[in-house]
Amino acid sequence: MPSFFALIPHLHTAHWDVRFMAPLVLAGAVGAFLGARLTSLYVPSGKIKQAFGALIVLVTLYKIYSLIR
Amino acid sequence: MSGNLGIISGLFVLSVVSGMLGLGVAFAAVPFLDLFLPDLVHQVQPLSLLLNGITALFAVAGFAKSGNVEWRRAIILAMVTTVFAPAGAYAAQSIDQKLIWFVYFCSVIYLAYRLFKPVQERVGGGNFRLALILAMPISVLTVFSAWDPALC
Repeated sequence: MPSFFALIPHLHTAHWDVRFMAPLVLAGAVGAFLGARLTSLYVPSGKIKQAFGALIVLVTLYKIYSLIR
Repeated sequence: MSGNLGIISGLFVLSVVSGMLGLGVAFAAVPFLDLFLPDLVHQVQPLSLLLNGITALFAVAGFAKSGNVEWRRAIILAMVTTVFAPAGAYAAQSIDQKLIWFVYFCSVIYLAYRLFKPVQERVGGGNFRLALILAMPISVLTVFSAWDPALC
């Protein structure tokens, strides 16, 4: 809900490409639902937190590298 | 076409992992999408916020199916953050993108520390009133960089 409301200031200035966005939205929705179901049923959350932390740090480090390259 | 498949696959993996934590995908999606889209404020942020809302909704559905959602507190927190979040988005429209990236990188350092820090079990339900007060500035700051208040 906060994310949808935070979209309001972007509505007039955002560059939307529906053909690019639609598959991303679908992949995101399916992935998030599967992730939540997996955690609920099988996986301990401590390991996931660390995996998520490592993933974000890696993506961010690559972003920093691409900025200074 | 193969480039788009790479983006879709990457976002799918990020969504599964963030869904496992009950979060929207924005925090991981911002640097990922920025690798493919040139404009942070007008392309990456709106798309990340849209994806964040949708992935968070589907993650909630996944957890709710297993009865793992505390609805009363979740709804109150969502209402508070919804009221304050647009202020961060308005601020991002008029501020240098380098400052947004600086806030984002600082957030990554703090959150990486929080995610790797061992969790101590608390007795009782925690201080919900304090959480509500902190949710106000947190929602402004997090939406400023187009990520998810739930991460805090």
